[in-house]
Amino acid sequence: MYTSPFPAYGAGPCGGAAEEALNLYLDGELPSEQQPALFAHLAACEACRRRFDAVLKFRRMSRLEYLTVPPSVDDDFFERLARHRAFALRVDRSAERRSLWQRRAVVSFRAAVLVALLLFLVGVLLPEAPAPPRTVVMPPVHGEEERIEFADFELPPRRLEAVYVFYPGLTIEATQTAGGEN
Amino acid sequence: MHVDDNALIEAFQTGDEFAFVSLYNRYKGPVYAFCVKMLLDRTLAQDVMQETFLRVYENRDRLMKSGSFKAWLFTIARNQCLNQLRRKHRQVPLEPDAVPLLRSPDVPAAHMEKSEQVELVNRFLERLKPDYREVLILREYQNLSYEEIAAVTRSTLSAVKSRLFKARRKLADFMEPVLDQAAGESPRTPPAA
Repeated sequence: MYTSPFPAYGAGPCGGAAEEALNLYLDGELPSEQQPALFAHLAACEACRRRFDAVLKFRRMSRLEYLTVPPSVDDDFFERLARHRAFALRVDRSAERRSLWQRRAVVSFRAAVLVALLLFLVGVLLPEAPAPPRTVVMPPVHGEEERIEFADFELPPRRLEAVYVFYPGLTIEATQTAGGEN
Repeated sequence: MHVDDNALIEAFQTGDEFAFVSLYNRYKGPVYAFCVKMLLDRTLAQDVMQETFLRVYENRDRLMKSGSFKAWLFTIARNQCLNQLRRKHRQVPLEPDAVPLLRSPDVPAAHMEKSEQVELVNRFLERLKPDYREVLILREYQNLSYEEIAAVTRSTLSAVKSRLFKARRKLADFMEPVLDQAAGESPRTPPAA
């Protein structure tokens, strides 16, 4: 009576070991010293042989179709690539034109957390600074320079009508000119 | 003269557009074939293939010289395909079991035309879940190693092996009735002693 060289465990008609060996053989991974045991098993086990035949049949049938990329697909692709390049160039140029404030930069999460932590520590650990002296802020004074032109001539002497000098009991009346000249 | 991927990537990163065209010409076929088999729709696959290479062009700075460019490329293509499948699934719910495998079940697979066999393969793939379909396509059509498939699907090596085994099991379950027909409706042969 035939006894399988593969221990029956797991799923499959003859256990997992036979199936694994069969698959490894199909993939060219079964060591040559284990191959005679597999062939002996295949000769005796119909279920495994049918599985083996099915995979070989599938392999033959799948080789019948030769798939090539149609030339029109290449043309389409290079057109798409050209459009893509033109678009990328436009985006690059617009990024260059952006101001520093608007520009996006990739910052790692770790760096962002470190900076935030550093700022927090600096805020907590720094001694409180003395309050600055209070200063009264004066409202600004607006002034305009006014140019005044003075007339370059002497005023004519003014003639006073009379000067009254009062002494006790005596009144003197006399005519007098401005500038103290009599 | 064959220039390796790393040299082309380096040239592309320094602004050599011809290097990008070389990478495109080298990988457009495999990426297109992968997309066609994942989406089972050529028009959609063409669009996804173009989108994949546009993303490569956009992300040239992120190209890893140490890693496999092929795996990175297929990762982008795979993500695009899964997005498309999700979108498609939202529009028209997929009911793979409702799709008949054979248009004319009386004709055995061995006597089918080439185009009919191709269609049959597509129907098998259509029945598989995207998880299984992607590993099967990456292995059977693209010959990616287990490590590369793990990198593309962002999974472990053991997960890739497991999914590949399960995908083949499902595939065999779909195929066995067709193989029975191909054998001329003959009863299953008893196991050899």
